[in-house]
Amino acid sequence: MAACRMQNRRILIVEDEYLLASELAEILSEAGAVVIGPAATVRDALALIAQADSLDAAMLDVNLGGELVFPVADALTARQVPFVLTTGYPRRDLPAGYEHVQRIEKPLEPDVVADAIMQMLMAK
Amino acid sequence: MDDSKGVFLKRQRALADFGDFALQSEDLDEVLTEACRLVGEAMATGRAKVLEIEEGGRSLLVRAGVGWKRGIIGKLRLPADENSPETYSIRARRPVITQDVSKEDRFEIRGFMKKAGVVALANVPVLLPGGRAYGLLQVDDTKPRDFGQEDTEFLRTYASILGPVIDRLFKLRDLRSSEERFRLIVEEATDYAILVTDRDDRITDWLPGAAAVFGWNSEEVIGKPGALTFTPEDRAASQARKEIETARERGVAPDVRWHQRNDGSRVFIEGSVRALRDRHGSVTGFLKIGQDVTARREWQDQQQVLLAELQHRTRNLMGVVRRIADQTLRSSRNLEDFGSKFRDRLSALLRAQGMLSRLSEGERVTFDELIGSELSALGDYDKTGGRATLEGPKGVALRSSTLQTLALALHELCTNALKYGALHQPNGHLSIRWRITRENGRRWLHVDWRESGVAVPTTPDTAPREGGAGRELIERALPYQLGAKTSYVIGADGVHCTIALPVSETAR
Repeated sequence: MAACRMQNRRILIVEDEYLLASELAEILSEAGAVVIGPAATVRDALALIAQADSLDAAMLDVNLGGELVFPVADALTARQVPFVLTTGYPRRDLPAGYEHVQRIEKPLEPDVVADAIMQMLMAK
Repeated sequence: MDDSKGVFLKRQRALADFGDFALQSEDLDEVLTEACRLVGEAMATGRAKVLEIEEGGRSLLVRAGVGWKRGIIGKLRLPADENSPETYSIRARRPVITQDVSKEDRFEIRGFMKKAGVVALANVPVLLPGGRAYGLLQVDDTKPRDFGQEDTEFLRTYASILGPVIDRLFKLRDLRSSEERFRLIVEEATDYAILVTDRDDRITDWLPGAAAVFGWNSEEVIGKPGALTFTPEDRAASQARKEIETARERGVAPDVRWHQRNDGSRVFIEGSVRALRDRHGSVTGFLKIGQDVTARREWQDQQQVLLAELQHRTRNLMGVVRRIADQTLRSSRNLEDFGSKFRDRLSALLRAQGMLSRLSEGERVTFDELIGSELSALGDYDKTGGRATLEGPKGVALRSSTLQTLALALHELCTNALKYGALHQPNGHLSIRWRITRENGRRWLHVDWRESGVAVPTTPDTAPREGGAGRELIERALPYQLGAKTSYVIGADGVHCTIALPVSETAR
């Protein structure tokens, strides 16, 4: 079911850890999505967003090797692309303005990832 | 005007003058000296002194006097001898007169007085309100003198004024000393910002601790609103006023928040605001006391950051382990195969984590340490010697963020070499060379991994499959995660792999 709804949807992945990025890309590809990226840095992610004709949703790792992902989040917000933050520290406060962004905890569970993306796509 | 009327007026004037003087002065020694001067003048002796009871009555200090030498006043202590006229006068609470020292047979007159030519003396006790004896007023004359009733009554009147004046100055001294103690306490407490505001929360007192903590001096802030030390955010949210209102309602309000210094920097204060009230209970102002706990607060914040970082790493590591397990499972022939490969990979992860955890602040793992560690983990791979050549500079510091992925990649290279390649085959040789270059201002480490003398199997289901995980790490993970440039070629006589990655600027 998830597979049909995600079919051909373009989803950006931002995650610096290769093994986690490749896993997430695999999960989404198997669900039928078109993976944009993955990108390991803010710079690469911003370049992908600038190049992409259309984006349906994004999965953003908060901490990219010490660099925070929020500039990417802002670029997506400007394009009205929904996103989910993936984070290793769920209890830590996020900066002002991001309190209401959906967060999912690492390590990512494929079902949780699929649910989060479906919600974003349906809300759009 | 007859003589006795003149004397009477002179004495009345002495009393009045002393009264005036005593009202203006708060210095006991000054007041007592003036008392002696006036009484000496009024009695036409030019000599008088005040003796103060000391040591619970065991001695008398010549506290003040006129017509006496410096060495005596303020210094001479007389023992309160039983047979002295001073002791008797104090005990009996009445004047004791010696009209002529040479005819005195009741008391022993002190040697220093005789030596100073004292012939007649009058002792009048000075009593404090409540009846406690303070000491004596002693008037001396160098010639025999009656000290008749008029003289004695005048001296009694004089002494009865002296008592309350002394008492007032004592009380003032006690108050001053307690004020002084209080002042010293609050002024020395420079870790505590202490200030007082009026009922409208305008600063009225700004103690040195407040100046030390907030940076402004007293002149700059008196009259300013108490919100002065609040951050712009808290001022916008009327936090200072809220605290004041809480203190007004409940007596006290906590003040635990970031404040702002005069240079704009922030200081974390833990303190309180207390409402000050007058006798009728209406609020007259507010006392604010707070401790600067910025250092502790920053330490706590730092701990929070470290904790968050630890959470981040741990959770990422769990994700990595799960991914490695999935990948190993897919490439395993059976459970036994999975077990050994998975354990080896976890060990490589563990070694990288171990090296990182042993580092102190600012330290880095070096490439020779990392490759040495991975080769050692292979066990006794080089029984005959000469199977592997390592050549490159020691102490090339690796960025800590790159260590885990690099360690996993090197682990795969080593394992493959041991199972199928240069460290497995009888004529195989492994050469690992590395060097440092500088490109566009960045330090790069170039690693050249070359296996030779290896008969590469042509059947597709052995080495290439095992090479899968290592190959993916080298060809994809290192460029993705480390910004590395890599190549991986299975040549005619073995694997040739190159890895170029940016490294830390700080040499170990």
